[in-house]
Amino acid sequence: MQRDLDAVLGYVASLQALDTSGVPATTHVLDIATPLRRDEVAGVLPVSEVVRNAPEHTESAMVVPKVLE
Amino acid sequence: VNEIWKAGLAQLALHVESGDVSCREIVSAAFDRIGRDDAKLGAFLRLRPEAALAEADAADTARRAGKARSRLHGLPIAVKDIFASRDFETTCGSKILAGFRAPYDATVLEKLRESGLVVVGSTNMDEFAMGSSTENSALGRTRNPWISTASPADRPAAARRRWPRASCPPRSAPTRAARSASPRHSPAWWVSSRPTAVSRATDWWRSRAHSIRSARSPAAAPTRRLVMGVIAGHDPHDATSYPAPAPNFLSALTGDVSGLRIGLPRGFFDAAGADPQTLARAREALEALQSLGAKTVEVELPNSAHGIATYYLICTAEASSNLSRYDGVKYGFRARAETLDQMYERTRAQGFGAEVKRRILLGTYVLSAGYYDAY
Repeated sequence: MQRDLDAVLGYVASLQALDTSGVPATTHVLDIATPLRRDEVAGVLPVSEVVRNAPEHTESAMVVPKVLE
Repeated sequence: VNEIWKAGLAQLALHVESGDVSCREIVSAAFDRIGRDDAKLGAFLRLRPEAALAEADAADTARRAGKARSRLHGLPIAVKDIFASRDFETTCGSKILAGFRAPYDATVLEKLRESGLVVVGSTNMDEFAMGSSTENSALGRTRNPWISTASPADRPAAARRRWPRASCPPRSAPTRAARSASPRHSPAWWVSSRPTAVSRATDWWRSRAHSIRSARSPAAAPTRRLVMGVIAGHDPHDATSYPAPAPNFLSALTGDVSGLRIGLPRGFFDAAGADPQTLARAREALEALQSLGAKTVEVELPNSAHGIATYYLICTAEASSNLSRYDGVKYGFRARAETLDQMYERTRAQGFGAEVKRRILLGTYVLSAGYYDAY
């Protein structure tokens, strides 16, 4: 695993050779803003459906090992 | 009827419309074929034969009443294990999602259903789509149908020889392209294209790398056109989906390529770094397109050599962030542990496979202070 990671990082280091000084920071090639959804309640699942997939759950909550003593 | 499995959806649609064959016969043929061969191939993870056959019957009834929902109503389709489905477990080829049953259908599946397509089941994949051969699937390896020792993405030499012909754009009638090549399920025969953000309808429930994913239909051109027509479009459930109407694939992809300009990146078509056989086939395809009236233009892509290195940074960074949701709390697999921290650690250590861990580690590293600024 360590060898694999070294190999990939070594390969990726080739990017350091690129001159990006004139390139503005880019988060996406499409010039769009993060879309915001209307602040409306829609498509809410019943709690029982939401917790159903948790490995351990009660009728309304997911159960995890104790956090506080 | 015995050879139904060879036909693409576009061809099947014509047969159903002409009354040669019923949806039930087609869907049963698909299951017969799966029953006969899939023990050897391991392509399918989950199947829903009873529900699918009932849907096919309903489609036959609707079609007889002139109420077909679309040209694809009642035809079978398989989906990758990455699309959330209420009908069966969705696991993304990972142990960490074992037992997960989605409380809703992915948008792609909703759209397939609206058009009346019958989902027969879900197919194997590399864990969280990290790979292209299923060797990274936690649920076993899929075999190549022609060469049992090869990766399912490889194709036999015979098919390789055949594909330039199949890659010619169909002039108009879908049947022509559908007839022109036979190894039907080989990627060699598939027309592959990567939809831009504009045309994707993702809601891949299991988010992995949101800037580089998109839902595709690997199939022959006529079938692709029909399926893309169904699944493309903005998905309001997916904040990374581009909010613009999808192009009309049915009217845009006529098969007529005269006047079409094809960009050939300089350096991509010389011998350095490209497999000579692949190159030869690509040239044949280009010649075919040119003979049909397409023009080629040389273009400059000076940074393309850095594509893979960039991909490694983006894809691992996004994977490390998006896969943090798998913690054994909300869904899927949970390892036994005394404390919460132990539970997180053991669940992730036991639940993820080697390739996923490799990418999470790399991604966490490239996003770390110091390294992040370097790129």
